[in-house]
Amino acid sequence: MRIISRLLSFVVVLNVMVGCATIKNTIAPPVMTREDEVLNFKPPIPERWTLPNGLQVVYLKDDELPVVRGSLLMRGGSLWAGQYPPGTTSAMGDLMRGGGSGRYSADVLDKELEKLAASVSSSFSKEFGVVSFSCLASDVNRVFRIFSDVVRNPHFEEHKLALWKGQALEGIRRRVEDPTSVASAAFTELVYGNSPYGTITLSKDIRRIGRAELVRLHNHLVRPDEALLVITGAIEREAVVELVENRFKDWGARGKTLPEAPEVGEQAPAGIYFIELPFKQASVEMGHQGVTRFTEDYPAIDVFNEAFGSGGFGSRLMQRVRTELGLSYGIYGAISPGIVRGVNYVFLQTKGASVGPAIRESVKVLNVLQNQPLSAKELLEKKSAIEQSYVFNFSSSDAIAGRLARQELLRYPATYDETYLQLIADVDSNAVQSVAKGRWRVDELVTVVVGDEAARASLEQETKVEDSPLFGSNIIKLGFIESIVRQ
Amino acid sequence: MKKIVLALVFLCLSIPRCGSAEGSQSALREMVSKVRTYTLSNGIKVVFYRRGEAPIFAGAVVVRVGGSDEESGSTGISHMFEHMAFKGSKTIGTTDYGTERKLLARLEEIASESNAGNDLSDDQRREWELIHEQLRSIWIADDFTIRYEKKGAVGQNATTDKEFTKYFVNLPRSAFEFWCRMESDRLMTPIMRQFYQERDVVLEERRMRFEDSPGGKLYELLLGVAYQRHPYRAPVIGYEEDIRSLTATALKDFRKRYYIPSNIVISLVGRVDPDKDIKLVEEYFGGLPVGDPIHRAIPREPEQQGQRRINLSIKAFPEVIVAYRKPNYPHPDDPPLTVMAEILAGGKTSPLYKELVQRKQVAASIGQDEGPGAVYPNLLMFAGSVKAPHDPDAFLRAFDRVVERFLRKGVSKEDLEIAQRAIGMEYLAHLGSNQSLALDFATSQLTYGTWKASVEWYDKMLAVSVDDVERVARQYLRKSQRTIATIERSR
Repeated sequence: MRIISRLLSFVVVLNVMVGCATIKNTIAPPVMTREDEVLNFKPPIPERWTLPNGLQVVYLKDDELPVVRGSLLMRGGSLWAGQYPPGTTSAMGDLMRGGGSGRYSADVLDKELEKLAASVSSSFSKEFGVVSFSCLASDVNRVFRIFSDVVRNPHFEEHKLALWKGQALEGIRRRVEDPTSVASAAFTELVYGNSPYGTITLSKDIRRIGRAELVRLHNHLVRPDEALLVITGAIEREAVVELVENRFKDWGARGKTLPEAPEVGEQAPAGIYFIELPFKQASVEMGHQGVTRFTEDYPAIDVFNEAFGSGGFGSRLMQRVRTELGLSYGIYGAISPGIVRGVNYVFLQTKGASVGPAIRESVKVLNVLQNQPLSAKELLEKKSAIEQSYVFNFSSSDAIAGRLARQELLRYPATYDETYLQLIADVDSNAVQSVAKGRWRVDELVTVVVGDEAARASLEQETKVEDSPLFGSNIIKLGFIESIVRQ
Repeated sequence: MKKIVLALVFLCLSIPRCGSAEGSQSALREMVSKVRTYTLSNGIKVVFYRRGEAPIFAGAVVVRVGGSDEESGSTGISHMFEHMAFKGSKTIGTTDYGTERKLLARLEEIASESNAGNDLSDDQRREWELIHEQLRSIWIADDFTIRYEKKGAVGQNATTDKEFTKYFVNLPRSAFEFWCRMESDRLMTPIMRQFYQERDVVLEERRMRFEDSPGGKLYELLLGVAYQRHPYRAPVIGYEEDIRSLTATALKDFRKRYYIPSNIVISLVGRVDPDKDIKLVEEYFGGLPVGDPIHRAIPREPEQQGQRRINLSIKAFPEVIVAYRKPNYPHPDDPPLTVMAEILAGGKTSPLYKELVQRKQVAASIGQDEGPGAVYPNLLMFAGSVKAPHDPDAFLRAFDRVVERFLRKGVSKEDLEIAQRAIGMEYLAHLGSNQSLALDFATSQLTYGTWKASVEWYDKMLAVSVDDVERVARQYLRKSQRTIATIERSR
């Protein structure tokens, strides 16, 4: 009997709505304006303070379970590591924890944490780094020391780097077995072009990564300025102050702060990019470069997303392509703002023979939103979904404190909390239609399709259907080894 | 109720330096004391647990039906019904149920004459499409889920496994009565609308999870070999031909048989008010007809007469699953087996990880789990990805060496305590989620007749000794009682 299933790669349970899991880009609203138990809920407010070195601390006590959790969130990632081989930021992030730190070798550290039944983890992505811990409250002093050493004093042991590289190479080798990974890699490369946003890590990159690069990159990215340390759980404020002072007060700032994020590369021409692989189900990723965060129409973008493709079964993509036509199990789409240029995308999977019609119907859903405003009823439904689910941002101390830190890191507008719900309430159907028309450019769509011969035949057929958005399109065939191969 | 307290006290006391045990005890004691159970007039059991400050709750309706209840030829019916349970009722999802009912009935007549709608004649196809056109003008697509979304639902979902179908959602407290209405409607008057479109959706799901997934394919193959007679051998999603043969009529019969009060538990966790809320729950759910008792005639799996091995030769990178037969809880050997598996492959210091992933580097990863079900004797599985340039045999040789050494040398007290603490922390993390707790209470109640079963299991797990682990290792880690499934890359 095991409460938590361990073999995540094997399917034991079937889930009716998996596949409609969507990327909700907005960190939802705060201010409550209505006379309602839910909307008038006053969540606990985390305490905040800043150390002289710039490190911000966010703390919220929660005694329900005898556990303490913490996360250090840092601005900076592979976007600022262009001079290093691709993959170096990932390696650095993973090996801060995995390569030994402080007074412990990697193996001893593993053992020590297992003895304490505690966890410490670290990772870096394109834009952020996170180091986290979780432990019984009684062990927090020991675990916090390990945590701070993982942040500040990682060893990056050579043999652990070698092991990491071997596993990374195996992961790259296996990319081709997962159609969604193939579609995603190709789509990212095509949409973001030759820039850190479009870089896919290849085997040759992994082989170039050395320990010296990890040390240099750690010095570059792991820094107190613009970092936030979030601590929640069964721990008193005084104890947090003492722990933080002891372990992070003398963490020196690195001088100049990180520059602004680099520019994106040039997107590939619009078209259908087909990668033939023997999957029974075709995977489609379709879209183009998008917008930066917090453009002036961001509330309308949130309502648009809810209506278009990120609002679960209520979204139009789901209703049309899945419910009415039975063409897909998983389909979603959204405008996903980014640090410089985000991405507008639709993702779907369907049997090879129906990939053409599924793409056609998805684009038609977008066309309808561009040409007709939402009905008053639908607009109200979408706004209500955003407003009513707002309270779940405060479902736990972790959610509350983590949200605050993410807002800071993503540079939310200072008035965001005070204005969001009112801004959502003010969104009208014209604003949603303006988003559909102004933020989507159907003539720039890059459409990546990964599928078998039946998918290819379906696409070829679709280019001959006069009322299809694919009518007359060329199908550009690509190969895939570890990444796309132009042919 | 005090079991959970004892479990956590043990967790703290068994390890030195556990100074804050008292605070932990009082917090946990308070938590457990708030669980309330009720039985509705028709026999449905209801578990309430009030917790947290935020005005939200998780609601779960769990039905004791899944893949293990399915007969040959209709595999996948439980999962198919789960999909259909999102299609609405007589009042949700339609603008004209009277007309719809007649049209749906005619569709079923045609389905019965055309191999479940798979072999339509030209005339039948024309009528089939005409009926669907009429239905589309009546249907309100996804009305059921949209109503939930409007109320602020988060994580609205359902799952089907070998024994359970679970419907769950998180909602603002203000939507409590709404939840009662929606879920009781789903149980009492679900309408099998859009059935044939949804059947196609399920086939898409099958393609995604199994046909295009080497891991999914291998797991399906493993169960088909490890079990010769027991229904655990069939995939929960069903075989493709069985899914294609399902009809809306078959699903109606299925619901009548299994969606009855004695087979259902409702669980509510979060900002609930049990004494008040139970009245609403009774009002909405108390009318579900009692139905006929369920008689399960599950074939017994014969003794295994030696190691079984199956290989899948496809264009995929090598994988291995080694599955040992084991009993399921409440068998007394179940808790020590879980501890043993945790010791063997639970973390980065476990012998299997150290030998296969770190030293020999024949595996990119290794993990362990128990499955496929929670009720009948199941499997203890070790699974890993083989790292190039090695093949499954190299993986297996290294695996067997570790197991042999483990059997020879036994385990230390320290290994045991580390494993117990790891499982304990896993449990603590699980307690943090309203939804996880709601599902845990309901499935425990349905399987063992008490919501506290998992808590009691943890007590037993924490009482496991070194001798227990060594004994079950000798008894169950036997080659003759295992099934090996591998993927070898075809040329």
